[in-house]
Amino acid sequence: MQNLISFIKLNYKFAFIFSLLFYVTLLDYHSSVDKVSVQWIYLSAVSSILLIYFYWLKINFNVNDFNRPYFVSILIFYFFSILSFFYADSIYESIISFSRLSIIFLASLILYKSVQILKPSFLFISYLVSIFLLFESLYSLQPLLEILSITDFDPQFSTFLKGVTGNKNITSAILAIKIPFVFYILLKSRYFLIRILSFFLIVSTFFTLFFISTRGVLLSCLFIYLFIFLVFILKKKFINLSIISFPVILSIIIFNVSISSNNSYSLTERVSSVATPSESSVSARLRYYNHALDQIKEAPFTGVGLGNWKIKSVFFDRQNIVGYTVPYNVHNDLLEFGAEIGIIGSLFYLFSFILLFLILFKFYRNGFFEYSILLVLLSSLFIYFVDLNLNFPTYRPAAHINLLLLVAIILNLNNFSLQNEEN
Amino acid sequence: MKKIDIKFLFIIILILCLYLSFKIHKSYILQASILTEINSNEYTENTYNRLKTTNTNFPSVSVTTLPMSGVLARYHYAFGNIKQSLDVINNQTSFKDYIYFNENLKAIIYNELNVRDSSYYYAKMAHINLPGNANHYEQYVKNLVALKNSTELINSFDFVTFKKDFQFSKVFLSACLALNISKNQILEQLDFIESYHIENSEVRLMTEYLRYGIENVQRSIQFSQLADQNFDSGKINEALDLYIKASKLNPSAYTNFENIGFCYFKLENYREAIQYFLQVVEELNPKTGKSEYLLGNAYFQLGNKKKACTYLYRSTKLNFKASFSDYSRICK
Repeated sequence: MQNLISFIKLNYKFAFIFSLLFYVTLLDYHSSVDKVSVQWIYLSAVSSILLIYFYWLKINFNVNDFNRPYFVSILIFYFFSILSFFYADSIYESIISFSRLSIIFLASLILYKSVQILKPSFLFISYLVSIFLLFESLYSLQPLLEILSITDFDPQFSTFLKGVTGNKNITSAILAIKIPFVFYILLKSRYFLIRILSFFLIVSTFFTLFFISTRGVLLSCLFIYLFIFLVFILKKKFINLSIISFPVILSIIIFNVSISSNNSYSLTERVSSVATPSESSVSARLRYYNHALDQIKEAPFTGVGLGNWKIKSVFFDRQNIVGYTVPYNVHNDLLEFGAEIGIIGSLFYLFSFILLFLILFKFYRNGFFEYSILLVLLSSLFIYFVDLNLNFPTYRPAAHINLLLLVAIILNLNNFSLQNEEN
Repeated sequence: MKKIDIKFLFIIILILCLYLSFKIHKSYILQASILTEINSNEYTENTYNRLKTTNTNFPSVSVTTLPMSGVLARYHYAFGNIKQSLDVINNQTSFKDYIYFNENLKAIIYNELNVRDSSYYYAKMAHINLPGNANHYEQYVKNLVALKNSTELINSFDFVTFKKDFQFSKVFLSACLALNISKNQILEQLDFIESYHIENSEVRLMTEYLRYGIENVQRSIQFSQLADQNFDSGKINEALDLYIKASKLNPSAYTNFENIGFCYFKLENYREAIQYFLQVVEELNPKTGKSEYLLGNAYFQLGNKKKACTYLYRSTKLNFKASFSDYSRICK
């Protein structure tokens, strides 16, 4: 226990910064029509406070921080975002979107610098992520258990599981992104009790995800876990393989027992319908993608202006709009940026993700001390990237904050070593 | 490498962002009330007063992409300030409004001011550019009725993109009735509307008015009500005659045929009863399960258990309560 306490003492400053930033997910509506407005206020206020805290900690930013290809790529993306102001129909909407991108960028720098200077252990970061995962999953798990205690689960009840973010797609994405960190604890923690707790956290989170049943997330989880299984088999890590398989299998069994009386609710059907264009949300997304591509063809280098797609999308989708229910987002952030700021800016945003994947690959090839850390980061980044291509996580602080953490860790991977771990 | 501390600049940027975020949050709080009121078409003075002091350019669109200036104009109009409303629409929208919310509002205002050509112009523009919006369609159709333009009215329904929404059908049918359009001119539209909205009593009544004339349908209703009274007092033959008269005046009302069949059933003329029940089930198909239930019983009286069970089963599938006990009694 003393080891654990000294381990926490070593990392408490990072825990403070991390908790303040990640608390953004747990904020309420505060009378707003959409809780993102509260989240943006909170994130900008907290980032300001943390920068003052940096003064106290004597943490400084230097030129080298911005020389990293990732930040260069992001800054070029921001440059094109500003350039698009000149083509924007509503410059006010461009200013709003740019202020949000600025908050993200500065919060990203804060997390990056915190990891670089405070050097938290990866296991400690995983503990923090798991604590937030526990709170976030409870928001969906509690209504789910209430429903199951009263009646059989019907697919239409999945809207009651929208949870902490108020949107079931975003909720399932932020839960799924965090799960790999809990797997890491399950594999690496020295404490049996913590491993047991993380085991149950994985089971309950998967159980919830199966009921929320967001196809993109289920498919990306399936893909990534198949990949991990393959890696473990190739590395002949059969004990690790069985440790990570057991909670997944158990959650599938509990899920199947819970829906035994309802044959229409099947995971396989849900996942396979991702590629079924006849399904309404799939066909709507394909239509939005085509609209964005049409806009990119129309103005490949200028776009409609940052933050202006929600206005222009009405023009493209006018034959399908019922009442005043408009598309608002492309449901693919890369295409949306392409339509808003032009293809070059969007490609630089895509390039920033490619860079992150390349860094992970480089560390794997160079024999990083702990390949399971790379697997955790790769899994979470992949799930975020898939979500980026099917939804709109960029302007959702609850989703985007997870990417900021991944960026901070990946760009500081050379700072991690076994010395920082529990023992 | 010389260290550059730019934390101070970052703090300034963040404080600026905090200010902008706070302004947006204030607008989002107001929008929570606005959206409820716009959806219910009940505007409160409290929201109006708060909206008047809000900068409608920041943000310039609501979370549902309505132009905030248009929303302010809508409130001005709701509280009788028509001049201010037009002023806001014409001068305060800083971007191209593809949702045509402002044009629709202009159509409403000009309609009230009786400036027909302007109202028609904006209503048509709003409808053509957002053909799935029932409010826009209603304004457009109101203008066509006022202009007595029946040709354009008939064509207008073909342009609607979301005909399955019964609101469009209601608007179209009431306009056709207002312009006394002959059923032969809108047979296709009537067939379509009946196939989708037969269960909506308002829409059904309007299609019957158009097909058989308002006077005939109303006389049919009177005969039917009189027949009900006769039936209740045991005068089955008198009731039968009145139901037959009612059915001739309005051949779309399945209840008349069902009641004729039931009269024959009461008179133990099961073969005749079956003809009428079949007409209801096969041709008019109201999916209530009642005719199927009576048909099953009529076949049972004639000793045809197989057909009786077929129709009783169909009735149980349509959840007609009485059929469950008869199905269990006869078929199990």
